[in-house]
Amino acid sequence: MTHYTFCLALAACLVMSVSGKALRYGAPPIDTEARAVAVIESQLKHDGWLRDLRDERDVRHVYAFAKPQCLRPLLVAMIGTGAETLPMLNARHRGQLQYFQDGRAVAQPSIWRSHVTFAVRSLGQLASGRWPSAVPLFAVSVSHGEAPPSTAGPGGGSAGPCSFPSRASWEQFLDRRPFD
Amino acid sequence: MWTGHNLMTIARTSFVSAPADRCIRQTDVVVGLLLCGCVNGYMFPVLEWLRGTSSEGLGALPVNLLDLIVIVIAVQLLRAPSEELAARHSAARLGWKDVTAAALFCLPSGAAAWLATGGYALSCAQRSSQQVRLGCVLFAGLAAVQLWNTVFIKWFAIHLGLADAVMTKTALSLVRDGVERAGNVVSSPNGHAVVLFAGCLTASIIPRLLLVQAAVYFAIGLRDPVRLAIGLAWIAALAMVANILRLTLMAASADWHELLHGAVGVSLFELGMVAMVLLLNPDHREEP
Repeated sequence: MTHYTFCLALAACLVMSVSGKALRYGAPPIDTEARAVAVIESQLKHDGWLRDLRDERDVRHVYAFAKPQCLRPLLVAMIGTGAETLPMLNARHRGQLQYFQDGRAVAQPSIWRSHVTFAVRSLGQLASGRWPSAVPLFAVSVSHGEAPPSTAGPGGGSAGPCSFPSRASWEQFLDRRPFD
Repeated sequence: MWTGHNLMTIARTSFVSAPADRCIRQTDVVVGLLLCGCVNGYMFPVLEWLRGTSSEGLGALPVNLLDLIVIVIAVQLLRAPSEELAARHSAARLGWKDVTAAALFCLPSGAAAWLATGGYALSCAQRSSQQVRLGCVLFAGLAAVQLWNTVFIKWFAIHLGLADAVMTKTALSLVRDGVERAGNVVSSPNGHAVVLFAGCLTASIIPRLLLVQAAVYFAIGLRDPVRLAIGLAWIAALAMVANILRLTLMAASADWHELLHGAVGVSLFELGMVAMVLLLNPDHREEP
């Protein structure tokens, strides 16, 4: 093979491969977390919880929602695929968080499941060229100053104004695929 | 009838029968394809860099300084085979492995590009010897390091982060009271709460340094595996101490955190790592 032939073949390969990646990675990034938070915010608004930016200072990926009659804000923590914030959340809010993974309430999220889901989505994007939507991994605080978790509990769904929106109602909300 | 086999045979014979001075060596084909794989692998950080969303200082460069050293050394090893090897590798032809690697580079995924680069480099290493093999092994190592740092470290980031956090807390407790660790967060009174993410873990720094240590070792002509193993152990130990010291200083005060996490600190850490490798490998060759 001559230098000329090889250089031509290599240039063709470079152009094809680089342009494919430029198309995929060059597109403006979609802030999936902001979109997911907006969806959750609209759901919480129905129950009277309003976004409170004062409680979000210096804390990334944790969003606060307040009600005038409640002592503590309702916190929504968006957990990335790597779930690197999980040990910190567990340590700081021990027993005070309800996790949701793949649209279901879980006691503790599975990191491996999160990675496998992400890998499957990545392969789906490779095949279809479109990023498949998915329910994010997130946590919601269960105690907000009126109903302690021992009585209201994550699945309790007590009727108090500061109680945690019931586990079933969250799952019903997530079943409607609001993030699509 | 024009079958694929016929076309391939004609293409091969016409390429091989070109005048010798215009023929390309097999090692040049390997170098070209491996560099093409690297370009594809680095596309994501390059585009992030062009968009201006990456970090600051030397850490903002889309290609890490240590990676560049490895690539330059690997190419030099591949491009300068001995006379015997040069003769053996003179008749270049595209095999199915070369074509498969090129096809895999076209997938729109950086991870797939690194996977293809690593696989191709290993397959080339298998059929080569001496310097060419070392160059291929370095490219395969680079691909493995990239896959580890961009994909697989995240699978273990929680546990690795906890290990670093425990060591950082222990180190900071030597000079300050009231140090607390909550998961992968280390904080202290009057200090700064440091959250350990995948990018700042010791486990993300050590593999890259081991690779560059091996590359420099091969580049200066050393081949003794025992000395290489000792050098790798030293570099791993020093990298761990350096990173825990960095994390401890960042947790000690907000000012230190701002300095070390900013452009100056990141650049100094990168240059410090390069200096560490170069100091551990004085330029001398083994006696023949």
